[in-house]
Amino acid sequence: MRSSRYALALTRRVGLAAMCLIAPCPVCAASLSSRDVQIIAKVLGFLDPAPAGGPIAVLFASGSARSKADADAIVGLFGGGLPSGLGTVTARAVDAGSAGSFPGYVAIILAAGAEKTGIVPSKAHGLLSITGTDALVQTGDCVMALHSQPRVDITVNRAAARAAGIGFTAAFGMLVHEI
Amino acid sequence: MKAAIGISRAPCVLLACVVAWASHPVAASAQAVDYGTLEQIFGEPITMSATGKPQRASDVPADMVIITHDDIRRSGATDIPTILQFVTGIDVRRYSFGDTEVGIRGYDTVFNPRLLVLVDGRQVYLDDYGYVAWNDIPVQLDEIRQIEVVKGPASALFGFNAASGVINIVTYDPLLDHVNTATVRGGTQGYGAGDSVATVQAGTTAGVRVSVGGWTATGFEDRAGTAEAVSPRYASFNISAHWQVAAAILLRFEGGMTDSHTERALPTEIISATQDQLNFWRAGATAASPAGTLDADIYRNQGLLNFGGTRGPIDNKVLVGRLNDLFKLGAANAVRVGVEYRTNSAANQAAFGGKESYQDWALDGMWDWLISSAYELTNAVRVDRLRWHDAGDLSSTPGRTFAARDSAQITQPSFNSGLVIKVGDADTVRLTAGRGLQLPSLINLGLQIDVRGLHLAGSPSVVPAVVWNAEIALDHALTSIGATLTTGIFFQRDTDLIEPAGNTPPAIIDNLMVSQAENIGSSNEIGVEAGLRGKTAGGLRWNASYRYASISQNITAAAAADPGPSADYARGTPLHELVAGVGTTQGKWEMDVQGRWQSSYVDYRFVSPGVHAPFKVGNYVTFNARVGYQVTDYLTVAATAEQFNLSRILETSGNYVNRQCIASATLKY
Repeated sequence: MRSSRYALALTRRVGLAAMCLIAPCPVCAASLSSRDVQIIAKVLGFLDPAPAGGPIAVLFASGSARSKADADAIVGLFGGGLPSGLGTVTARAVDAGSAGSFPGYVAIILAAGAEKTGIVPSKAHGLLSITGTDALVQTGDCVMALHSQPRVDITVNRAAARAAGIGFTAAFGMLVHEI
Repeated sequence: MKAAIGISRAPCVLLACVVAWASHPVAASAQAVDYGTLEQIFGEPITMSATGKPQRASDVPADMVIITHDDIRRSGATDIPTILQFVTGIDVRRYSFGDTEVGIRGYDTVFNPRLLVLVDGRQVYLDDYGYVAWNDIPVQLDEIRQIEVVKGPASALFGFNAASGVINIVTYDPLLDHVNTATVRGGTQGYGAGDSVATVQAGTTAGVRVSVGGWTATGFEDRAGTAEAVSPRYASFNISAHWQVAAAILLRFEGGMTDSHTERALPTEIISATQDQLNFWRAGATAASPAGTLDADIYRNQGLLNFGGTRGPIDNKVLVGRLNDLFKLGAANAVRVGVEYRTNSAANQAAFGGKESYQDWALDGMWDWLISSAYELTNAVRVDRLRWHDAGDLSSTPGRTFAARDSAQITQPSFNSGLVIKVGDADTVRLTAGRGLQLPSLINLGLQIDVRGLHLAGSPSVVPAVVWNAEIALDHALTSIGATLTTGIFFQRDTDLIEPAGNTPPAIIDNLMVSQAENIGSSNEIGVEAGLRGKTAGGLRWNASYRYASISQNITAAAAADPGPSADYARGTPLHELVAGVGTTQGKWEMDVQGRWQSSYVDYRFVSPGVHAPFKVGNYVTFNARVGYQVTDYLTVAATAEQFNLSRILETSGNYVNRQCIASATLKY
């Protein structure tokens, strides 16, 4: 059952990526929805220990216009900021190729295409990494996968979280799927 | 004396443990469950009432209904039973303006002993008779986050008396939720009410919430058409404080009191003017540790319960201490282990010749196994060991010789198991089974009193009633119409049903006419529930649900020959219930209507001591409506009509229930 759900999610992502490939960038939808980013903002309040405030880095793949467009679209969904347990959270698009580490950021969102950079395990220590692609969490390339449709589902890779030095409050940990 | 010392020391010991714990460096932080934010994340209410661990409402391995704060506001209700009246599967019977009995899945009686009611996990169930006086609960509607209703036995989590279900009233968190309101209400039946909730917070470190409230009324008509003999009234005060003393330590303190006067139907079905004065204190701590989330909780309830007459109040004291550890084992297993101590006493010279009490130790555990993303299995078990002791001097009490035993011991297990299966994105199947317990009340164990020439006697020989329950349920998301379908079928078997003193057929013992508490046999119940709840694209919210329940019983010949309210569940439970409602919010206007129809059932009325006559309560339909208008961001006014379709109906053998019209103004600041 789980594999079929992942297959379904993967199919959705592949379909979304295919749509992005054939559509002009100005109308390319973000790989995360408005509801997704609202949830991400609130999830930050359940990090334990709570990080200092700061923006979220939305990573895009160097040289990929489509990945950049996706990152910009996600940043746009944050607008002037979203309410979080850490205060108001904003987001910035960050070129994965130019990023050394991520000082001052509170978390990382992987835009479409950025997952290929393999940047999270190597450079994102101490930061929660978030994706809309379940497979990245299965492989440990990202700590958290999230999608809000048809039902909010959050998956956390415990080993990846430990490696990144990330923890969650006990109540939140009881409510997500840990692998 | 020893007990008194133990009680006074308990908070000090708890505080010492907390301080000692705080001196150790712990990486994780202990936080109260942030119901509000978690609900926003997952798009549905969060609850701990099914297993003792935080869960999404759609994941719980139990038949649960969660009534949200919005539901409460839109109901227009001024008390909790009126809110519950429009939940399918809940049987609400109003005997007078301030006296209501609530049952789950039938078996409702006066002084219903089968339903455990809690406020934030603290029982407000009264242990002397074993019942809930809804008019005694020190909570204001404005401070309630949600009301969680668990249908079916839940003794493995909550212990004795969660026999037919549990209702846990969850209030806002004084540290996380900023609730400041003041409400005034006025209406027919001379009804006038006011309540206020205020919260003060010191950053994210500490928060205190204080609530006060009260109401007075002239009451409903009795069956002779005259006003109730006592003007019902209620006043309460409550204070709740949370202190995040360190990242790893959260402390909780709470206290409150209630004073209520009402005309109440007693277990004998005698209608009596009663007065209850209750107070409680509570302290607790939550600590994050490498071993999981540790929780310590201790509270003491005291009730001075005056049931009328000249015998004075029963002084009922309950002290409960509990330690709990909730932790995860790997990614897929959550485990909770707990130990609980409870002492419960009731003192009244006339009723007990002094005091009777019991001490109960319980061990309990829960294991939740997420087998896969589609299958989740939960098992909970609890064992209670109780010793009852009568310390009263009953040597001069007539009839004492036949029940001279002054002690009893009860050891009983209970369990709850549930398998939740997610079938695709639209369907959830729940298979559950459980064994619940209804403890004989202190009255059932040790009462010795004369009432109008009949001697009412408890008996240490009475054993707990056992409730076996199995059910299967299916929830189906109807996305095309924005609705959810819930269906379920349950089977329940009750053994060792308890009939209290005063209801059992009188017999001559030691040359006295005695009605003695006893176990009278067993019963079987089968029931079906189905419901739809949704919201249209235009914002119209709607719900419709139906419940069928049929009970058959096999009781002793003596009880069958002279049935009373606690021995005629087959006829005493309505076969059919139908609930439907519709509502909408248009700009600043909010309009809701809820209706309920139920078929007839048989209640009983008092004839003479030990003698009851069946009283058929006809089928009835009742509608409540509310219109609210948000005048400003701070002020909302509303008009509510309860039972607007009829001027009066009989829900029981007690007083009429009259139409009520109520206007209210709520200030939020």
